[in-house]
Parts: sequence; structure tokens; C-alpha cells
Amino acid sequence: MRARSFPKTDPYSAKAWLITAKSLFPQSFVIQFEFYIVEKTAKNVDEAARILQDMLQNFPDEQSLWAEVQSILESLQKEPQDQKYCFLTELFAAIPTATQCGMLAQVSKTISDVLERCQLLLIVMRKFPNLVPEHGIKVMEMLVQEEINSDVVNNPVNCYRKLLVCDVMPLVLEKGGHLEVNVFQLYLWLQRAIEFYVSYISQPAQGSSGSMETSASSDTEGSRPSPAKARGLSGLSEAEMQVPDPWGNLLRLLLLTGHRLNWDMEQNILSRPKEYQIASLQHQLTRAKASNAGETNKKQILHTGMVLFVYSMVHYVNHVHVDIAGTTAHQTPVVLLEALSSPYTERLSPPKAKKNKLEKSPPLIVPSHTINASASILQSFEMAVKCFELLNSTEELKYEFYQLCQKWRKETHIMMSYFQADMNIYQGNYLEAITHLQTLVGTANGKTAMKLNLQLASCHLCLKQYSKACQLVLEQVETVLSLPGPPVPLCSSSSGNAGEEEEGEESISSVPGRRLRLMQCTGAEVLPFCLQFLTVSLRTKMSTYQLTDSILAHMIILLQCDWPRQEALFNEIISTIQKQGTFTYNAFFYYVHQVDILEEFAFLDTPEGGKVNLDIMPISTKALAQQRTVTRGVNKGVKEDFKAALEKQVGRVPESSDILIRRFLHDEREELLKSFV
Amino acid sequence: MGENILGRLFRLSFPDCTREALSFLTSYISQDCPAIPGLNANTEQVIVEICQEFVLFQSNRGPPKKLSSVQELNLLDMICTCFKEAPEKSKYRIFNLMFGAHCNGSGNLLTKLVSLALSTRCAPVLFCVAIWMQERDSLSTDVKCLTHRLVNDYCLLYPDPSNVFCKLPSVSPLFACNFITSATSYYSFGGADSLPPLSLLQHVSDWVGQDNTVCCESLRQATIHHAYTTPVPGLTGWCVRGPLVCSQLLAKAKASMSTAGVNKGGPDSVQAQVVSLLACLDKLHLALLQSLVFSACVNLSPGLISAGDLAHITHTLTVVYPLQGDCSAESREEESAAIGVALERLAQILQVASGTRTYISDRGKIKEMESIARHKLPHNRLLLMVLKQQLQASSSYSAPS
Repeated sequence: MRARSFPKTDPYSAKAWLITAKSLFPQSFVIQFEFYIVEKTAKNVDEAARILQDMLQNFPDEQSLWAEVQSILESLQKEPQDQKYCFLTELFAAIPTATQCGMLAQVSKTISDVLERCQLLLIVMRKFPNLVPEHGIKVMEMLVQEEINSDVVNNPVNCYRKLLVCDVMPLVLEKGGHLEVNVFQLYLWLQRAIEFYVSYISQPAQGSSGSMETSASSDTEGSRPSPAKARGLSGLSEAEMQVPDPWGNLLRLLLLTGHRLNWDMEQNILSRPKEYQIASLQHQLTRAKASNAGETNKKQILHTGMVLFVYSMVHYVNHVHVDIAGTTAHQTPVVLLEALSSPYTERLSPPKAKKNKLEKSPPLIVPSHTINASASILQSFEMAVKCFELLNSTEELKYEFYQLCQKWRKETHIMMSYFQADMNIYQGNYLEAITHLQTLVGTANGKTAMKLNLQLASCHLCLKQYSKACQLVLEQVETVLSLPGPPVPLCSSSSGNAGEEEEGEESISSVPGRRLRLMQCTGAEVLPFCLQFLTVSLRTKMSTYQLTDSILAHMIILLQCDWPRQEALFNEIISTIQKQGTFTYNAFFYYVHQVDILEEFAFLDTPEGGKVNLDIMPISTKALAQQRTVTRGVNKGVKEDFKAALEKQVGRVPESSDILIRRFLHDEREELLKSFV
Repeated sequence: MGENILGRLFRLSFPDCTREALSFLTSYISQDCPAIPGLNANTEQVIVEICQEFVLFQSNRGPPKKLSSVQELNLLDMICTCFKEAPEKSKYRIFNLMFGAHCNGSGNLLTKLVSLALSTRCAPVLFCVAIWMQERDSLSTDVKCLTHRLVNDYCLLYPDPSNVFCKLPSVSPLFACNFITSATSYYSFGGADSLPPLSLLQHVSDWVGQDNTVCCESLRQATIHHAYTTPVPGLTGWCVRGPLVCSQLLAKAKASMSTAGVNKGGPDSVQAQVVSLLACLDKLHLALLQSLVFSACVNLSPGLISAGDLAHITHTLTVVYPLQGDCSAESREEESAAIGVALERLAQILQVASGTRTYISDRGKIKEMESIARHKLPHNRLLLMVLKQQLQASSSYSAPS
């Protein structure tokens, strides 16, 4: 045609010719296609779109036409920087919805790979939300089906699920208009989403830590960055498998689903920050629980509870137990333990009885000052416990909850186990806690093992299994003391902030009720706890027939740490000794250096002090007596020896109680354990 | 009351009397001209008198009142406001009362009113003027006179494109349409003496190119106002004759330079003008075709262009062609290229128009065209092909009957 000789030089004439030619030969595809090319070259979006649409209507079988359509759709998937792609996108935008759908349907038919087809449809739907009602559900069903067909089904973190849950589902729920789906389907999708996100978040890191990306730092709670993992499972690249804000996305899905199901929710909640959404969901959960009507209600409780549970549970476990993902072993786990009651306020009474008494009010958790964001940790923990209790409150919920948990991956179950151990401690169910802890401790090492062992010890103590408890604690002491690096200060008084910490504890301890401690698994925090733990354990023997002089002596030795914090206990011990009238402990001068204590013992020896028969010299006075045979006045000599020894000991005072107790714990371990037999 | 109103108006001074008069006229016409109680004389006469005395200021009772420029502007503004506020159905009746009869003397005021309406984008006034142009026939002298003045004011006075004119189709498409019709008849592009000013051509080609509906506006009104003319035949004439006339202008300029030496302006300035004109015509031609294509898609009564119009244009080509006098071979060559373009355009317009609903075909006229094309004009394959097809189509259509 003559028109072709014009285009570049004279666009007006060229177009005039084309108009005439089209009028002369209306059935010629070549002319119209040429016309289209002219308009496209001239970047006339509307004109080109109109001609394209005409051609699609009049010449549906032309190969070159479909090739053009294909290239348009391909351009939609490209980055918008390129001018050419930009134009093609605008061109597509200028075409009526019905024709857009037709183009898509036709082209997607030619793509055999379901994943690619879905990606194409997804991209197009993103750019043109008007196509969502037509294609959204179809794509979702395709992805669900394809996931079943493929053999990745047992791993929820796969490419089909990712596309379904992270990309298509939010789009469809938000932009899909009226959806022809039943309620059951919506729940099923939501469950798949929960499965995906939980598994995604708890999956172990792989290979290099290069995947530790910035995306996690967008986590607004300032939590430990949850490693953004990228383990593409066939089909999607690592980058495509990334989910920037998994929790935000999951909450969004829950809220969108809730909107679809007409749950009672705030209108603009989707635009609120995550924290607000969570708080609102919690309230909603409480309301739903209270109203307690109908199937919808149950489902709402189940799903909201489930999401909040996994959210808070993972959040908590990630904070307290950093080893699960395996990426951040250098960080210190945080351990939740039963607090050791202070002797001033109350005697250690059997925890079971206490538990019954205080069942209604939850125990108080006292975090140590060294833990960052402890408020957020505690908040997560309490929310997780509440949700867990709620999800187990009826048989039906319990059943559904466990059904959902079934599909989790191993890592998630381990997380859950860590959480459950802590929750059982919190609830005072020590036997159950021990079951969880023992399973976990089998595979743990390093600080994680220490954390678990401390918890085990704490549980045993509460169950009055002192021997087992102290054995575990002594093992931990051994571990800490044998750690390389600078020696860890033993007594809390030698660490800087101990005083103020104690103060805090004092003020809290005035509140009645059970208390738990949340502390970091560092030597500086663990050792003082262990000492206190041993003291408390020994003290339980005080009013029993099992009380021996060495138990008293051991307590005295341990009391030297942080002297005179536990002076009350010391006075108790002294009065016990006075009552007994005798006291034998030949290693006394090895381990007792505290001037006050030595003075007290000198006083015990006097008539005013009760003239207690003290046998505390390194060589027993009895043996000495035997040595010196039956000479009268032997005792006088002994007395003088004793005084001399005391004075000598006072002269040595500056020796650090730290080193002393360290030596004691190391040398007298067996003796200590014997106390609990 | 009629006497009362006249009396009262006479007692008022300038802006007030006109304001009162306009509001009286508006309400009177809007109430379907009721008989004025207490008035024996012809009511219509009273109304006309009010209009003459207080709006147009052409007194029958004494010497015409002379308004100062500021007062005149005030008057025009009041008239514009009156049209804006009057009920839709009364607008044209009021206009007709003022300017309908004949425009001796009031023509000047009308031009000023249109100018003000253009610059203030007063669509109601422009609409009424457009209807007036249409009823008068866009080719009548009154209308041509108005057109001429507007072209002078907006296209010739300032060479820069007038902002007011650029936006005209969006303010009043009907006015733009009828203005184009009138302009194409005033400047027929039939020779050096009837060249349209370049800026006018630029405006027109922009209007038609940007809005394919402009050419159809008058036809759209055809159901209400029976008389109409469309700009399409006139524009076709421009597009077809234009290249030929331009090439001849250039040839003459060259010839006169070679004979008379250096001339005022010289061939260079003529050439620059011609190039610009041709570029506009290229654009206009495409816009015209697009307008025709557009009209094929909408339901309009027939009459955008007819076979008769095209036959007439063909005939005018024979008058212009061939170039008189002795010319260089180069000029001859250029002229034959130009006639080729002209015939091709004619063929294209005929072809595209025949596909539209608004084309009025006429076998006789087509035959006439064919005979002119065969015998009096150079051979053009496309034109002959299109004409042949038209004849075949009409014979196959009329054969059974």
C-alpha cells in the first residue's frame, strides 16, 4: 500500500491514506494492523487501543494480532521504566474490561505452566483491579489445585502457597467485589495462610546468613529481626519468595476475611498500625467469646485466636529463645523461672497449695533489668497464654486447633514446645513442664541447654525434688565457671546494678502472690540465682530431722555472698546452733572469712553466747583430744588454738568471697549433694 | 402598564434604565408574551420600542443617545448577564428581538457583543449567535460581515494564536462550527484574492483535529433549526484547492521575480507562507477524514456533505487549473504534483464520506464528476477507481428498481 511509503515523513498523509484504505477495503486485516502500527508508533494510546479492539473483534484468528497481544501482556510484567512497556501498559489500560478479559483468557490458555499463568494473571490483576472479579477466584482455585497436584504439599512454604497467600488472596479479598464463594472456602484459605506464615516465620535459616535481610528490620516492635528467609521451592526465585512483613500480611488477611464474613470490626482498621489491629482483635475476641453464639462465632474465635496465638507465641519464643532459627546463636536466651522467695517475706511454702490458693490471679513475672523490651516480651507471652487457654477451652475448639497444628512443620512444633514449657511453668504445671523440657533438652546445647536445665531445676524445686534440682543447678554452676573468658562475678553485689535490681525486687515482693523471674542466661545473672537457689534448697531442711551441721555450715558459707543481705537467715542458723549446743564443721576456716560471721562464732564460744561446743578447727578437737591423750588442760590449749585461728582468719579477711565460694562450690559439690539424699 | 413601563424607563438614567429594560424583556418573553393590561396599542410594538430605546439605543423619538466606551462596555456586560440568567427557552427569543430583524447599525453592537462573549467565555451568547448564523444562513452577508470582523480582530490584528480562539470549540462548539462554515465561504481559497489568513487556517485545523465532532455541530441542530449549513464542503474545498492554489502562487512569485527583479516580500516569504499553509492543510485534511469517520458512528440526519458539493469542488478545480501564462518547467512539475494531491484528497473524502450515513449520494453528480475527471483534469488512478466504485454501487442499488 502507498501508505507505507509515507509514515515517517508525513504522518498526516499516511493516516489519511489509511483511513481511505480502510474505507475501501474494510475486510483487510493488513490495513488495520498497519493502521495500528502507525498509531502505536505515534504513541496515540486511545486510537491504538480502539483499533486493537476492533481487530480483536473482527479478526480473532490472526496470528500476528495475538503475537501483539502477547507482547502487550508481557510488557505488563516488566518494570515500568522502559518507555515502550509504559506505552503498552497504557494501551492495555485504554481497552474496555471485557476485551481485556478476553485477551487475558486467550493468552493465558497458551501458557502451559500454571505458576507462570497465575503470575501473569496476578500482575495484570494488580494493575487492573477491574479484572479481579473475573479472574481472582479462578487463579486462587488454580493455585490450590496445583499445590495439591505437585509434591510440595507437605511443606506449606512453597511457591504456589506463597502466590496464593501473599499475593492473590489479599488482592481478591480487597478488590474482588462480590465473591461467589462459600464461607467454608474462605476459612480454608485463611487456614492455608496461617499455615504458610507460621511455617515461613519458623523455618530454619539456610546456608549463609546473606538472606538476613533488611526486610525484617521493618518489624515495628523492634523485635529481634526475624530472619527473612528465602527458600524458593521450585518456580519462584529467592527474591520472589521473600515476604517483607509476614505478620502484617497475616493480620491483614485475617481482617479482610473478617470483613467478608461480617465480623463485628472497626471500619477503617486496615489502615491502622499493627499494634492497634492486634489490640482490637483481642477485644474482638473477648467480645466474641462473651456473646458466644452460632457457628460463625466459633469460627471467628478459632481463627482470630489462632492468628493471635501464633503471632504472640512466635514473637515470645523468638525473644526468649533465640536458638530456634539457628541464626543468632551468639545471642543469649532469656529464661523464665519460678522466683525464689525472699526469706523476709514468706517461707517457701509448697507451691501446689499456693497454686490452688491463687489460681484466679495470674502470677507476676519480674523481668531482670538487662532484658530489652521486656514489656513487649511479657505482653506477647500473656497474650499467647490467653489465646492458648481460649483455644483449649472447649472440646470443639481444641479439636480444630490441634487439627490446624498438625500441619505445622517441625520447627514450629519445637517453638510450640518451648512456649508450652514456659506456659506450664507459668501455670504451675511443673510435671507437664518437665515433660516438655526433657524432650527439648535432649537436642539442646550451650546456653539453650543451660536455660532448659535451669527451668528443669526450678520445676524440680517446686516439686520438692531438691536432690535433682540442686544437682542440675550445680551442673550449671560448673558449666558457667568452666566457661572461657574473664571469670564471671559470683555474687550479685560485685556486679554494678545489683543493688538497684534488688531494690526493685524488694518493692515487688511486697505484693502477695506467686512470682516468676525472667532473666538472661548469662553467667552474671545465672550464678547469683544458683547460689540463692542452693540456699533456698538447703534452708528447706532447717526444720526437718534431716538437718545436719554441714547443711548449716553450707548455708553459712553461701550467705557470705552478698553479706549481709541474708542476715536474718544467718541469725536463724545461729539460734539453731545455740539450741543444739554443738556444731561440727572442720572445713569452717577454709570457707568462712566474713568478719561478722567469725565474730558471731567467737561469741558462740563465750558463756553469753551459750557456750556452744564448737568443733570447727581443721583438725577435729575430738581427734586432737585423742592425740593429746588424757592430759588435763588440754581443752584450754584447744581454746587458745581456736581463738588464734579466729584471729588469724580475721587478719586474712580481704580475700574475696567470690573466689572463696567458687572454691567451695567446686570442692564441696559432693558434700552439698549429700545434703539432699 | 405598557405606557407605565415606558414612562418609568424614560425617567431612569443609563445603567438603570437598561437593567430595568432587560429584566422586563426577559420576564415578558419568559411568560410567553402575555397581553399587557391597560395597553391598547400593539404590545409587540411596545416591546420592540423598549428594546430599541434602552438596549440598542436607536431612538425613534429623538436623536440616538450616544454612549461612551465605558458605558457601552457596561451595556454589553449587562446583555451578557441577561443571557446567562434568562431561562433556557427564552434566550434565543430575546436575542432575536435584539438582533433578529436586520442589523443595520446593530451589527456593530453585535460584533462587540460577540467579542465580549468570546473573551468572557459567555456560552449562552455565543450559542444564540451561532443559531442566528445558522438561521441567517452562514453564507449571508450579515454573517459574513461578522465573520470578517472576528477574523480581523482575532486572526489578523495579533499574529500570535489567540487564547480565546484556541478554546472556542470547548466554549461553544456550535459557534465554532458555523464560524468555520462562514469563514470557508468568505475565504474560498479559490485564488490569491481569497486566501484564508494563515492563523485562521491554523485555528480551524486545530479545532477540527482536536475535536472530530465540531463539524457535525450544525447538523446536530438540524432537527431543531431546519436551516443549516455544514463546514465540511467548505473545508473540503480548502483541502482540495489549497495545494493547487499554493503551487500557483509560488510559481507566480517566481515568475514575477524573474521578470521584475527584486519584489516586495520576494518569493522566499511567499514560499514560507505556502509551506505553512500546506502543512495546515495536511493536518486539516486528516482531521476532516477523521470527522467523517466519526460521523459514520453516530446517528445524524444526512447532509454533512453531498455528491453535489463534491461535484462543485471538482468543477472549481477546472477553473483554477491549469496555470495561466508562461511558467518554468519546474513550476509546471510542481503544479502537476499539487493537482495530484488535490485529486487524491478529493477521492479520499469521497470514499470516506460515502461510507458515512450523512453523505447524500447522487448518481448524476458522480457521473458529472467522472466526466470532468476524465476529460478536464489530469489522470488520477485513485479518483477514477473511487468514482467507478461509486457508480457500480449506485447502479447495483438502483438496478432492481
